[in-house]
Amino acid sequence: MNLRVTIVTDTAGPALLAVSQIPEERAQICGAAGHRLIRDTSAHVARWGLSHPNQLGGRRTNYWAGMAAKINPGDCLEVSDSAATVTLGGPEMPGLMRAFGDITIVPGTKTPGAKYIPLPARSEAYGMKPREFGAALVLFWKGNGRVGGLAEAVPVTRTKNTQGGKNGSTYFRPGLVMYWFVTEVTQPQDRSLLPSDEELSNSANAGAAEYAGLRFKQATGGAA
Amino acid sequence: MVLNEQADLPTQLDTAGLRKLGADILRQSLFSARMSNATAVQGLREAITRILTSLGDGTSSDNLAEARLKLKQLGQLLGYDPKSGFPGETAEPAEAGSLRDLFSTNRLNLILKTQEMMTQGAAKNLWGNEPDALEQYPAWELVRVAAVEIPRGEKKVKGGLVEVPEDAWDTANGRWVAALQATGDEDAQAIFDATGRMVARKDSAMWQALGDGEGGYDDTLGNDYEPFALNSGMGRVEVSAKEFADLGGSVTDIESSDTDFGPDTVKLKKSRFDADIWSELKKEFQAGESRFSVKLEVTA
Repeated sequence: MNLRVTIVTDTAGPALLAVSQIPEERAQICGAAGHRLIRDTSAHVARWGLSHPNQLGGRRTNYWAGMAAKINPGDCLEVSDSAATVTLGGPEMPGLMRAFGDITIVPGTKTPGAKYIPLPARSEAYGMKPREFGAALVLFWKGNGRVGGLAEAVPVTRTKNTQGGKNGSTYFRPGLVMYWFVTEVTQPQDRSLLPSDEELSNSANAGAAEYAGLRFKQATGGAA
Repeated sequence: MVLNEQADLPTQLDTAGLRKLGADILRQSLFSARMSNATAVQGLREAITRILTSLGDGTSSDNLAEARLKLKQLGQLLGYDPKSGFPGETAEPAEAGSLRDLFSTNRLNLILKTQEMMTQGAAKNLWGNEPDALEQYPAWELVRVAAVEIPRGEKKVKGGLVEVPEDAWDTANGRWVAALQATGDEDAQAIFDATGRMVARKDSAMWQALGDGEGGYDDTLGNDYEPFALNSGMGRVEVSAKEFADLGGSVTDIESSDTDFGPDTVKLKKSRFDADIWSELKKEFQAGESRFSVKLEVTA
């Protein structure tokens, strides 16, 4: 899914009507509005990421800093002589569409055959794939297989009283739960991830106004 | 995409050694300190590409953990052992899981995040210096864009953190001021003195000075784009011409007479209308008499 932000003229005063007679000029103004909207959106997403540490307090992955950098005019802005279009989201920016609705993640989209999503239960697990822990984790199931996950592997030495296995050999029992298995994860909508409609509109209009100011300055040889 | 123009460079040098090779090498080669196996370097390159772009098959681009896991699996496949390196090579033994272990979580995080930011920073220099962008946004501001465990300006000691102001970015004796002293950028100096903001023209020598570690910093990467130093969490945002002028900055000699938004638009000479038209247009936008509306659509 993508978010397409289209910036078009809503109200045109005499000066805008005059300037808009020339398609190239319209494109310039639209481009300036789009560029500003992108700059402000990127900065907003970076700030949002900085102010939202992960729930378990684990190591920051700075995922949103990466997303913010992907929001740039080179990749997201298209300009025609009637509108500027800013495209966000899509496979390059997964998670961004959470601003417009719940996002449900199901297993198997990137790992074919996977039935469960491992949900971090401790801060050490956050931002880590279970397989990175290797043999340090053991699988466990409870309640006749209704609840399962991966837990810290705690070595236990078999004794005469332990059923199965050779006396004195080692086996692993589940210790601290590191991941719970779930069949889907729903991330609730959070509109604050992106600027509000009003903020987006203000950004676009500020960009256009500044563009006109810049042209004025140029036409007067630098006078304010 | 800048990444595709880079050449992989297997090397056993450490970061300081890589810096000595010069910024050009760093810019053109994948930052893969001590990664001496060409297959591993290629794997690293692919992992970074997959963070930055999707395959176009509907699946999303990789996150850090997905990229890291693939690299760890590649390391196993290549027979890497932190104690002896890759099979058939003589490498200094590294403690498993340490930063010297080429496939440790910490090291891969550092390399992947640094490369991601460097590639995006270099790309920012390209689109940010397009004539229209340069004219409308003539300056950058250095800001924090990513969280780091211990930011520059703090140091972990037994019992907690202590301040190290000379290592910070924005302190009176920190990195920005050291770069100001080295470059003599008067605009940037005046803005910093008045506001504490780290703003300089896009063509200022300040950015290279930061990347070169002017002031004696040896953790920098030699580039005039972010992250400037390893794991800095710092990045640049554009400052518009008006914002820069309001701060007292001058854009003399940053000029752009043509603008090209792409193959479908025409180059434009910017003297088509008289000053009064532009003055009126600015007023119209400020008064809301002319207004753009923004339409948001969620598309498949």
